[in-house]
Amino acid sequence: MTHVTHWSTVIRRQAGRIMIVLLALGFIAAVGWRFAGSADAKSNYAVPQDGKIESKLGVRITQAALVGDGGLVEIRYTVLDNQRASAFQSDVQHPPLLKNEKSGKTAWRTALMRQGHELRPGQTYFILYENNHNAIKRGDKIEISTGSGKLAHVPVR
Amino acid sequence: MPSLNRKRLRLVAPVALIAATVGVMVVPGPQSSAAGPVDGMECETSSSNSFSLTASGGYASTPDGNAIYMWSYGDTGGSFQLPGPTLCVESGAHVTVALRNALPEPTSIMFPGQNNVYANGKPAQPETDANGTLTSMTTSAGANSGTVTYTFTAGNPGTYLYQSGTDVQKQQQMGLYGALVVRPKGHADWDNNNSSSAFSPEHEYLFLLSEVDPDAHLAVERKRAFNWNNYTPRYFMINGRSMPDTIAPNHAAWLPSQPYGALIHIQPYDAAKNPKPALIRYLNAGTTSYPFHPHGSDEQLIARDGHPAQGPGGEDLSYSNFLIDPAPGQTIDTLMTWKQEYDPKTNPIPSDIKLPQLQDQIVGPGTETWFSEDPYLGQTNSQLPAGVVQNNQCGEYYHVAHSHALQQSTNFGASFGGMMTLIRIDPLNGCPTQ
Repeated sequence: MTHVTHWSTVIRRQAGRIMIVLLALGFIAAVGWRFAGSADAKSNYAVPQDGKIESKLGVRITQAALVGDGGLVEIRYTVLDNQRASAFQSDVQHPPLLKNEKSGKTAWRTALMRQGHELRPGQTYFILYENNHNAIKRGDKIEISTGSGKLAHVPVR
Repeated sequence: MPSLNRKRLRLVAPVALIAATVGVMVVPGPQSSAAGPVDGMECETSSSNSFSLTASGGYASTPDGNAIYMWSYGDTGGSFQLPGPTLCVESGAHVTVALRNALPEPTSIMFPGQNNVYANGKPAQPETDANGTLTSMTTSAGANSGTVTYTFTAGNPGTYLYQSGTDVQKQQQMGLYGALVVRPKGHADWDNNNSSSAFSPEHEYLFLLSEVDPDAHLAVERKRAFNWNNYTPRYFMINGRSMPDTIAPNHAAWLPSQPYGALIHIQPYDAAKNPKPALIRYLNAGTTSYPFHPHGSDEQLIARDGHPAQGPGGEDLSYSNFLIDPAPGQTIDTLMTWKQEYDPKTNPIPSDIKLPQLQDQIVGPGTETWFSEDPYLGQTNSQLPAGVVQNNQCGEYYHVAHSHALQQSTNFGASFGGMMTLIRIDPLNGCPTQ
């Protein structure tokens, strides 16, 4: 016995299958949205690295973040070479300059003493900046300028 | 027959998937957190006052780059968090807390200050081993998936710790603690039953203070013995975070296991626009006193351990405090009102007060103050050099608040860290963010 299937039936079946797949994907997305933690918590965050700057300063920038309800910008750095890092930390007249790559606005006013007096390789320390005139917002990318060079495209979270 | 099943499947599957998707989106969980504020206390509430917690292990990060193995209570079905969720109930409510134990040893929860505490329907009891040695101060849940359900009647309005009563020295150090907030019936914006304890609900803060000896945690992680005579805390925390993570927002992306920030963000007192004070709830989950000092403004101590500061006749015994010094296990509630003292026109700063110099506002040796180049709140145009718009968002102030035992304001010995946060004061009319 031969089955003759009409084209419209085939198309209808295919459409039905596609709809079920889409609905299944929608269900999975809803479960993920409802029960997963913050999407931010799982997002990959990476700061560009520049070996030349790191070898000169003895530190690696690891984070730029907006804190203090947007009033302060935190720059976090890990010490690679404690003697060079000490020189970096001691140069109180020339803290790194933060420049918003989109707006061109800058933040340069460090608002709290840099953390730590004895720098240990592998440990992470921070500098806080006053976010003058709302220069920097979450999601921006900034350029961090030091006497040893510029680190571009640092994402702010 | 098979073709009939496929046909039915084609008809039923879309409907079932749509129904399941809608169900996932709309069905509320057994407990829920208030819509996450960026800062301030985040309450977990339940319409039936029923909470389900799981004791489990996970990692907390410290600002110096360390990751510490911790134990803590988290919502069952949720992720690991430090400290445990802040549970909020009303005084007199019948509360149920179901504990599931995912740890490799028995654990429990004590609810000091609460009435009629039952475990699995029987009065919660201390436990002993075969030799009569005390093993738990209250009924425990067995290791590896044991359960116990506690019920109690919420006590007097105020702030309480909930914490492990099993192998207390070890398990509380590992992080098994959280806050229980009991609100007065009908007055969610009062700290206790006195109208004088009214506060601004948008400015309610939790400071759960604790400490960590990373060597002890490493020993537990590696299942090794630890000599508690060598106990030396290196990290000091507010709400499971150390400075500068304390000033990061609630649920900061880089702190997935430490959801609660500790930034205080207020405005000056104004009889019309901002008449109510902020409320700060201090809890000590550590082993020593933490002499906590808010710079720039004293706080009014109004309650300890859920007991209002009042005499037998109801007289007000609250007092202004330079140093809030909760002892281990203790809680203290304070009200903070920040009053703007100086005004460039009506009450200028006396000329004999020396203001910081612009050139002093650098990192390192110097004044290390938070100065927008204008001493008046909300003013931004005083000493600024030409071409500089302003040096912060809107002339706001930042005051440091920290433990005055200065070794507690460090991250493994590095100063300006640890048990420290900031009090941000905005001008009365707010602070534009654009």
